Amino acid sequence: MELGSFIIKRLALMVLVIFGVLIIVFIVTRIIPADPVGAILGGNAPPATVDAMRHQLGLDKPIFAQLLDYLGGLLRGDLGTSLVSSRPVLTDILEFLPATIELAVSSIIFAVVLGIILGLLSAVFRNHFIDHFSRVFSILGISLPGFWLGLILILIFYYKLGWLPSGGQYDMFLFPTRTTGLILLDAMIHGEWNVFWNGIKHLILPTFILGYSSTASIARIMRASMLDVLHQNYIRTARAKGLPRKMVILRHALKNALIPVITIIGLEFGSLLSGAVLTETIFAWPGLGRYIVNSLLTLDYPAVSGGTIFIALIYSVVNLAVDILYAAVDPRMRS
Amino acid sequence: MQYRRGDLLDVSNLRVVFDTYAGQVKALNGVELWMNHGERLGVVGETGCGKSVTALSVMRLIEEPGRITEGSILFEDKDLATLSENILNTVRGKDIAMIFQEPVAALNPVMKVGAQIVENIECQRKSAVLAQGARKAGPVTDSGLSQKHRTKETGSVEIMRDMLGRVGLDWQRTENLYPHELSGGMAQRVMIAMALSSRPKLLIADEPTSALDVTIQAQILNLLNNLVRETQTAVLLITHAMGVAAQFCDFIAVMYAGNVVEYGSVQSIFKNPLHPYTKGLLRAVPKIGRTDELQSIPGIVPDLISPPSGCRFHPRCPHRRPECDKNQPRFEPVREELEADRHHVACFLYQKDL
Repeated sequence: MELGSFIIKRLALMVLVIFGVLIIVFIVTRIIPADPVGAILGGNAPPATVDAMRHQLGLDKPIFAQLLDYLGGLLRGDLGTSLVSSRPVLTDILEFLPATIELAVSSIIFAVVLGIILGLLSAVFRNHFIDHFSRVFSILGISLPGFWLGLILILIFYYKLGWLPSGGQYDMFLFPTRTTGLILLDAMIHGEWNVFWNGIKHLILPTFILGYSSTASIARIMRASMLDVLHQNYIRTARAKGLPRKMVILRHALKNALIPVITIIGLEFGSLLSGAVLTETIFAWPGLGRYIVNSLLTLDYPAVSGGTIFIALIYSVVNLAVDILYAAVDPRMRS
Repeated sequence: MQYRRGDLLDVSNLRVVFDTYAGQVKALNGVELWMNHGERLGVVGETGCGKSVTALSVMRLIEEPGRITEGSILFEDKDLATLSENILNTVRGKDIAMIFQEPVAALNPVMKVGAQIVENIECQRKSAVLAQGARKAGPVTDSGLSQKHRTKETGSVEIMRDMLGRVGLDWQRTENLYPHELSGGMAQRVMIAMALSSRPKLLIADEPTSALDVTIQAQILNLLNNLVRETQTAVLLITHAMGVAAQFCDFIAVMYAGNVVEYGSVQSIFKNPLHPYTKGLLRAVPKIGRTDELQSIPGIVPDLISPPSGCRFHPRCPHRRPECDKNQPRFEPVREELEADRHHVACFLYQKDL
């Protein structure tokens, strides 16, 4: 039952974190010296109209009162109304969220699977070819900026070779049936395999660009952790039992080596979400990151606040999941 | 086939080096020791003299950057020094089992202790099936093997529970614990249960009690003593405590800087120590009722990257002779004593042809 109380504690902490994020974002978007009313009405609107708009948006109230209004709305599930689309921010976000989830999930799967395999092989075949390859691959992943590499890959795979599309979530002449909003999942549900493969093709480059630096970090941590574990006494015990090397590595070393990697996966998911802002812009991916960027450029501050809160929420939930996973893998965390 | 000195284990001229950045550490410099089935041999010496390296070498568990450069490790009819890793794995755990100094660290932290013991039992059954199959009807098919493995070979769990009982643990409370939930003494009991679960012919115990409380040390040694007596298991006990070796063992090998300098029955070593190092070691052991001052051996343990030439003990030896720094003394039997004592020494003071 200690797991239950652990989760409740973490949920309470999560509410606090999100509240903190909310306050910061709210204040920052309100104190920047740019006037959303001017952005909506243009520079030449008569003062009476400006005042009326200001009143309508509640911007004539003190900032503290605005915050209370916002919090009140939040409790009713109201994130405010977008200044640009005039639709509820929540509706907008729910429309853009699935694309980001799809990209983030595929990137993290890519990063975790490839990172762990590379790190494992790197440690087991230390100083062999695969180790050198994996280390160079990791250094590049950490040091190459994603937006630059993204453009280069578009140049190669779209412009020169024509193998992959340059951007978007699927070709525009396709009209996928939507149930969950997740294109690939919907395509599988409805058996629209042409949409599915088209979606996969569109997913490859953004997944690689978004997941590359996380792959690199995970591979590095995995390698270091595995090398450490392979020198532990219990590995010697496992060898003394006469277990074949493969079993020693897979049954005894791997699970222990994964413990520090799990922590990194949670942190990497955060950098992945912030990376999504750039990646989505480069690949014209209709996700939350691009939505937030566009909202920032148009001074649509309710949209910025709402989007940021959602990202904080996703990040917190993922990290909670990671911590639960941590306790599941490492018995020392449970007591 | 060379002349066999012990029908269970005969280590001769074993040399092990570690290649480090600072230089090559010559850790073992021609180790000689042997034992028969059911005997107990204690390997004693200071920290860093190569006791643990010897123990690990016998199981070929020396890791990079260490390697065996010379010598043989005859175990029954095999030379473990040259055996392939696959065949070695049918000996490890099954014929030779090992327990270590830090029992908690020697257990996998994310596996329940019961499962770790069961793993050992099943691993040994598997290699037994393999060995039998190879002898009888050619190769065992993979499917047949995994089939056997899948049915969990009824009995592994029962053996595990029985073993936990034998080492004085209540299986119902212990089998589902993780290593961090055990005390050092309990963990060593689990290690002993695991090691003896496959009924090995030789148990290598590498300072099994050094990391434990003094009261627990005696309990563990007693337990070990009773269990190996029951099963007639031979024990190679690595220890730095002369007293422990004297009580527990039949024979003693005294090591200094990578060499066995003196070997023989407990009586011969304690009653008639010959090598100046052994003598020094015994003078440094406190005893109740002893009134004279404890004497230490002057000097320090040599650096094994550039060890002293000739006899490695010569810089500290009170009986140094001119030839001591030129040649390594041969490891030879002491002729005046009973053959059963197997008293051997590597020292120019006792070489007859000089």
